Amino acid sequence: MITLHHYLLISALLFCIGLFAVITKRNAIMMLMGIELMLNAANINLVVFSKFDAQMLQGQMFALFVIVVAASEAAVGLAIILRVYGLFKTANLDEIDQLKH
Amino acid sequence: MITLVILALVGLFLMIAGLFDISRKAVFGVAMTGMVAALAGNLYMWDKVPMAYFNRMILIDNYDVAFITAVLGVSMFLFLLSENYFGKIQNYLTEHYALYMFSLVGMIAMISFNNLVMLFIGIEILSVSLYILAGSEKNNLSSNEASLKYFLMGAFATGILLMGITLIYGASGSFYLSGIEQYFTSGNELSPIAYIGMFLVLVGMSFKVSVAPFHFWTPDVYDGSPTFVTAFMSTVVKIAGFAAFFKLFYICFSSVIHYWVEVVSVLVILTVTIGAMTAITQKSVKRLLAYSSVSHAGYMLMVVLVGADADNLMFYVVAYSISSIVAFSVLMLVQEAAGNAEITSFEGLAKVNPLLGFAMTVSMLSLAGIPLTAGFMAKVYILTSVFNAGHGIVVLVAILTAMVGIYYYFKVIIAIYFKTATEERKLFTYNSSSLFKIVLFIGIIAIIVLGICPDIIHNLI
Amino acid sequence: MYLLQEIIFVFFTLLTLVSAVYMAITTNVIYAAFSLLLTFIGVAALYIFASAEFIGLTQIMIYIGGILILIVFGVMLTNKVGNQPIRAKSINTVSGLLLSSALFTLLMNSIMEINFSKLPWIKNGLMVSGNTTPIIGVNLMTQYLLPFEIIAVLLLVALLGASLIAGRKDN
Repeated sequence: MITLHHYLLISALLFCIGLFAVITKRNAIMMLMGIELMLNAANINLVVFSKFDAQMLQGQMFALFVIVVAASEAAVGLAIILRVYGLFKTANLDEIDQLKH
Repeated sequence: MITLVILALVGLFLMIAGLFDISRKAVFGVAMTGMVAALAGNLYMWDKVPMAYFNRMILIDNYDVAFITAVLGVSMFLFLLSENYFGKIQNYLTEHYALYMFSLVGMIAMISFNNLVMLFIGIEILSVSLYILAGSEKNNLSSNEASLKYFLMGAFATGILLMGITLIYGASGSFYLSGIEQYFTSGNELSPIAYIGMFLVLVGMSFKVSVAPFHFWTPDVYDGSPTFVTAFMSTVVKIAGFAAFFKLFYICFSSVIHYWVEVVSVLVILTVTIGAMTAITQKSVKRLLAYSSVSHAGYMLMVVLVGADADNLMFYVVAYSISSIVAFSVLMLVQEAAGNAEITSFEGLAKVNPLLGFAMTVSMLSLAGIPLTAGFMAKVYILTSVFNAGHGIVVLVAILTAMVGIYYYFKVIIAIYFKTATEERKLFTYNSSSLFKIVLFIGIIAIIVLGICPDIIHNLI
Repeated sequence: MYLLQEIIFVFFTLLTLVSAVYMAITTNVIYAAFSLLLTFIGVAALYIFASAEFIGLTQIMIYIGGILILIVFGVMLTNKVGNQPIRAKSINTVSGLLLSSALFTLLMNSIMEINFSKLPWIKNGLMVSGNTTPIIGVNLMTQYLLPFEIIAVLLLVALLGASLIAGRKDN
C-alpha cells in the first residue's frame, strides 16, 4: 500500500540531496541543478497533500505556479551564468572572486 | 489593488515607449508620475474597511497601506538620485525602468498578500528583477559577480522557503493566512511537520532579508552591485521584506510564539553582533554600509521577535531608509569624483564641500543612533518594546553592539572633519545636481524632525 | 493489480532517487545533466501516481522540454568541449553531508511521527478521484485568477531580464 508517508520520505530525501548538491558543488550550473531538485521535492509535497483537497486542489495549483517560477529562474540564471562565463572564462565560483571577502 | 495595476501598466507602457525615441527626462517623468499615481491610489485606501480582492488573494488594511506608502515613498525619494545611474545606461534604458516598476509590483504583492501563493510569487518577481538589476553594469566584473552570487543564494533561499510553505500546507490544509492561523490557534496538538515548516520558512525569509547567519551573501552582493541598486536593495527591498516577514509571523505563528521565540532571539543577537563586528574592519564605505544594513536588519527582526507593535517597525524602516539614502547619495557623489568608495576618499570632505560633509555626518549619527536623530528614536521604541517583552539579554547585546557601531560610524565622520584632503582631492568637483541637493535637504530635515517629534509617523497604524 | 502498481511505484522511486544521488556525487557536468533528466521523469511519474496527471505532464513539458534543455545548453556553452570530460570540483563534502543528513533525520523523524488521521483537514477532506484537469482549469480562471495574472509579470520580467543580460549590444 502506497501511503502519504512514502511520498513525504521521497520528497525529504530529494530535498536533502538537492541541499547537499548546492552546498558541495562549486560549478554554478551544478548548483542550479541542486536548486531544481529542491523545488521538485517541494512540488511532490504539494501534489501529494493536494490529494486530500479535492474541491480546491490548492496544492496542485501552487505546484503549477512553482513550475513557472522554476522555469523563469532557470532562464534568468543561465543568462547570468553565461555572461559571467563570458567575462571570467569560468563558471566555477572559486575562481570568480573579484570581490574581496 | 489599484496600486498594483497602475505600476504593472506603467511598466508595460515604459517597455512599449522604448520602441520610440523618447528623451531620458520623459522616461524619468513617466516613471515618477506612475509612482505618484500609484501612491495616490494607495493612500485612497487609508482607513477604509479592510478590502479583499480576487477571492481573498490579497487583503488591504491600514498595515498594508502604510508599508506600501513607505515602499513607494522611499523609492520615489531614491529615484530623484537616479540621474547618474541611468545616465550610464546607454541601451535599453526604458527596460531598466520597467524592471524597477515590476519589482515594485512584486513588493506590493508580498506586502498585501493574504494567501501564500501571492507571497511566493511576489518574492520571486522582486528577486528575479533584482538579480538582473544587480548585474546592470554589463562590463563590470564585480557587478556580474554580485548578480551571480545573488542569484544562487536567492534561488537556494526560495527552495528552502518553498519547502517550509509546503509543510505548513500539509499541516493546516490551507494557503490562506486565515486558514493557517486557524490551525495554529485551534489548540490541538501541532503536527511535527508544522514545526519543521515554520523553521524552514524562518530560514528562507532570513536569507531573503539577510539575517545572520544567513547573511553571508550580503556584503559581496551589496558591494558589487551599482551603488544605486545597492541603495535600492538595502532600503526599499528591506522594507518590503520585513513587512512580509512580520505579517506572516504575526498573523500565522504568533499563537505558538513559545516554539520559535528563542530561535529568533538567537538570530537577533547573532545579527546585531556579526553586523557590528565585521563592519569595524571595513575600509570601504560601501561595504561598511552593507554590514551596517545587516546589523539594522537585526533591529527590524526584533519587532518580529516581540510579535507586536507594527508601528515600531514602520518607524524604524522609515528612519533607517532616509538615513541610508542620504548616506548613499553622498557616497554616489564621492564615488563618482574619486573613483572608489574607500573611507580615505572622504577625508577633508567638509572643507571641500560642506553640504556633503554635513549630510553624511547627520546620516551617520542617525544610523549610529545618537539622540536628536530619527535613528535614536527608532532604536528607543524597539528596545523598549523588546525589554517589556522580557528579552533583557537581547537589549543588552543590542546596546553593546550599538556602542561598537558608534566607533565605525564615527570613523567616517572623523575622516570628513578632522583629516585634510590631499591636494588632488581638493580639486574634485562633486557634481551635485539640484535634485541631489533637494534630496539631501529633505533627508537632513526629516532625520532631525523625526528625531524630535517622532509621533508624526509613529502610532499611525 | 495493487502489486503491479507498487512495483511500478518502487521502480520510479528508485529511478528518481538513484539518479538524484548520482547527480549529486558525480563531478562530470554532462552526466549530471543527463541524470537530472531521469530524476525529472521519475518525479513526473510520482505526480501521476498521486493523481495529478496535469502537473505530471506539465513537469515533462516544462522541466524536461524547457529547463533541462536550457541547462544542457548552459553546460555546453560554459565549457570548452574537448577530449577530456568536463569536471566540476566539490568542496565541503563532509559538512554538506552532515548538514543534509541531519536535516533528513529531522524530517524523517517528524514524518514518521505524523498521524495523518489526527489532522482534521485530511480526515475530513475529500479524496481526489478521477481527472483533475477540469478543476485546475476552472480554478485558474476563478479562485487563482490574480496569481495567474501576476505570474505573467514574472514571466515578462524573466523574458526581459534574460534578453537584457544576454543581449549583444553592450552598454
